[in-house]
Amino acid sequence: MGCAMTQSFGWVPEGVDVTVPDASRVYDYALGGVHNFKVDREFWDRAERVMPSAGLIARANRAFLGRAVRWLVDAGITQFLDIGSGIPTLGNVHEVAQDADPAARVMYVDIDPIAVQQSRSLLSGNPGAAVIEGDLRRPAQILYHPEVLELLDFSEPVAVLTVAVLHFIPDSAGPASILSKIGDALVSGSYLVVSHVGPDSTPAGRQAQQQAVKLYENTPTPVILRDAEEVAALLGPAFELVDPGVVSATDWHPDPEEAEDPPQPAALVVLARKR
Amino acid sequence: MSDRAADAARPLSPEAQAVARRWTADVAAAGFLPAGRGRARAALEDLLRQLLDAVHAEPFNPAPGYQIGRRLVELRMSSPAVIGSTIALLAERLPELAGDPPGRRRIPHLMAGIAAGFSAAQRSAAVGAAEDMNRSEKLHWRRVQAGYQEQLRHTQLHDPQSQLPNRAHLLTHLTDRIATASPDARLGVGLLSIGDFAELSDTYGHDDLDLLLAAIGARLQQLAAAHGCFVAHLGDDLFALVVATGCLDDLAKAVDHACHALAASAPGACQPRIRTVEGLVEGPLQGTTAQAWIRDARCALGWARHDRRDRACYDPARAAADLRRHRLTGAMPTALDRGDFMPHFQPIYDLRSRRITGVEALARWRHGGQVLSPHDFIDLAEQSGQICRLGRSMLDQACRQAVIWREQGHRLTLSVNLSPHQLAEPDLPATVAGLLHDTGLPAAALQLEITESAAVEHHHQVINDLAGIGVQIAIDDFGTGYSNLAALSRLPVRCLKLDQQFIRQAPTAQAVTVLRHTRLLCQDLDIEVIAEGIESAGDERLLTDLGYTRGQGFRLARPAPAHTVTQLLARQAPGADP
Ligand SMILES: C[S@@+](CC[C@H](N)C(=O)[O-])C[C@H]1O[C@@H](n2cnc3c(N)ncnc32)[C@H](O)[C@@H]1O
Repeated sequence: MGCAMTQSFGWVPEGVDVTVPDASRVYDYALGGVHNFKVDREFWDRAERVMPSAGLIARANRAFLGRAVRWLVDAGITQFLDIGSGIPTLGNVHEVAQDADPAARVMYVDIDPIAVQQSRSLLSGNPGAAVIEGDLRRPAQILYHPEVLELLDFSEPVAVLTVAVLHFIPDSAGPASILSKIGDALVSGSYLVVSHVGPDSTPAGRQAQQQAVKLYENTPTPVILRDAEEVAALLGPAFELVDPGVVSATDWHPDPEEAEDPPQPAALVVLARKR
Repeated sequence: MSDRAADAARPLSPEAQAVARRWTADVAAAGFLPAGRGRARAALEDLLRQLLDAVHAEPFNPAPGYQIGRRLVELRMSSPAVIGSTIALLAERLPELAGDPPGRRRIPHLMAGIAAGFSAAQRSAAVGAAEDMNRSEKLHWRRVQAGYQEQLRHTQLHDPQSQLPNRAHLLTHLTDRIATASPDARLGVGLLSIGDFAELSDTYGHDDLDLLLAAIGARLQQLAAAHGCFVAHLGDDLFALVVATGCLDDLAKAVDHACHALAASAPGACQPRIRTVEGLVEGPLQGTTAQAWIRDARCALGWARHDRRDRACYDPARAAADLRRHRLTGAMPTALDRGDFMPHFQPIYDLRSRRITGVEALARWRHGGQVLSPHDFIDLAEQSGQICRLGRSMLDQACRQAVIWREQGHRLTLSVNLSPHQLAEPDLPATVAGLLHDTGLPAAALQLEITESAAVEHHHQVINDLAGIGVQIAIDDFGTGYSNLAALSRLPVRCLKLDQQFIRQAPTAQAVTVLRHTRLLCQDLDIEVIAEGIESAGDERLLTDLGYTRGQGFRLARPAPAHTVTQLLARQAPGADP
């Protein structure tokens, strides 16, 4: 272990790279969480400097996630597969889902092993929720993972959440084909939830966004912006969009209490149903 | 909880409700509210109610302030801006809600409590998070290490090409089985070697050979799963199969299956058939060692290859004989150094006069309290390249002895055997000449016996050179193999030693005919004939009747140490030696 690391992160075990920002920890910090490192905090502070709306976008996204899960439970969904689930603080899917229906089961998947480990310790003792390490770019390994098959019954509808993660999947990795493979594994009546960073509505906003995107280029998870049409195109024919279609997070079944929050056009969301 | 549920039922004044709305808006502006705005407002109304209760409580107790500060953090309203806006809002609006001055005086104490409770909870949340991450990372790291270890274990225990268990794995497997064996348990181990592996490698090329090994690995693994046996890959062309057995047949069947699996493994269009050679060992399990099983199977495989058969089963008797041969080969160089080899001599008689006319020197090895005969060690000496040294030593010792007998007045012909390997040494004539010179034995008194074989043909020059220095050349074991009389006539042969098998077969008319004609032929060619293997009075009579004049055999005298022959010579009635 290098000396510099020993000094600043004395308690961090060897083998964990705390010298580059990590998407899950940056996001945790953006939401006000404390499960992050200095490098993550500095990174986010810089992003917010170039793009002051970044924090609000993150919040709008997370708030959407909660509403979407509640909506799905109301629609009769009791099984969730949350891919790119992140650090399990501040409004978990299983908390929301099991609050609405104690029988709900949630499988978390993330590519970051630390986030997975934290989820694991948080979920111990909860038979209805589990976590595995997995890569959205290899959907088969997630869908046919023994633990996933043990917790979720794919002969019944499942809601697959890819929330704030598809914008980390470049076109070269075939995001549409990934979603289509996921669709193949689902029975009709299942759902897919997507949120995705889109272009801002004003030229100034877009310029700020470009600078933030540049910052992300130096992390292990660069961001790709896609507009509403492109996001809809990712879904393919296996899914039909549920009203109101691809909209900004703040416009998706807004909480009447939050109606006055500023709109976030760059946080695109959509909920789709397996045909 | 039930208290608060009751409180919640108690409505706040419209002014207080307005303050709660402001508070919610401020908190929402300060940070993310995971539970949503509606729930947040309900929770803050609740806190405001507790605060107002504390303002009016008798006697005054500032503790609820601290609890409210903590509760904010619990509600995940924990960003630094939350406490700032909370203090600012409450400092501004609480006095009017509190009403009377004594209540107002309590407000700063409650506010201090809120700030203290908030920062205490905030600090323990942060420290808790750090601990949590620390633990998560340690656990993660431990998993990574366990993963590496597992990977390492796998690589240590598996062949990289076939992914089958490797030799180390096989040894552990066997050791485990031995340790847990019931008294009557039996085991079979089969080693399968791909015949022509080198050719196969050429046919396939490197990459495809890897594919082939991977295909074989997969096939054998399937077989293992289906038949409940254990398979391993010991490198290159060598595979092992371990199976619980009742008898050897069970192992043979399992090996048959494995051979079929191997034969069918070849991928690709050309599909050369994969042929295997197999070594099998089967027996009780208890009290054995893993190494012994592999060694025995290897030994059986070696026999199969040596005997050019597809399969051989381990046989302890053959293994003991092999082991003895190996030990003898190993002991030979030291034995030669120490002079543990010496000649015995078998007299050759004139059948008419019953006088000794010559002796044949026969090598003996004093080894571990025994005296070994040539058939115990000549092959080994030839295979291990020590025959020339041994031959020279025999020749030297025998010549010296012959000189001693000559000095005692016995003009014997000394016969010494030459191995084909000795004939192949170009300096043999010079060596022989040197020995004759050193010992003083006349060349004519030495007869060198050459086994009749195709090799003789290749060494005409050496044989001619030997004859050239005056040594007599005899053909040994005549009639057993090549029997090429035409070749005989081209060589400077002075003597034929007729193999004893002719005499053994003699009662048949045919054999008698051959004996008669051989003698006549030799007479015509002016070649002397010595009959070997005379064991009975009948043998001797037959030979003399057919006109043979020379012979050796147990009936006349067995091979014996020099001093015994000296006594025989001494007992002979004095008379002119031929
Ligand atoms: C911004 S967070 C989103 C967390 C949560 N889904 C939400 O929206 O509140 C993105 C997460 O996706 C994860 N991630 C990035 N690339 C991924 C991939 N290829 N497969 C799985 N997870 C990935 C990151 O580790 C991070 O935890």
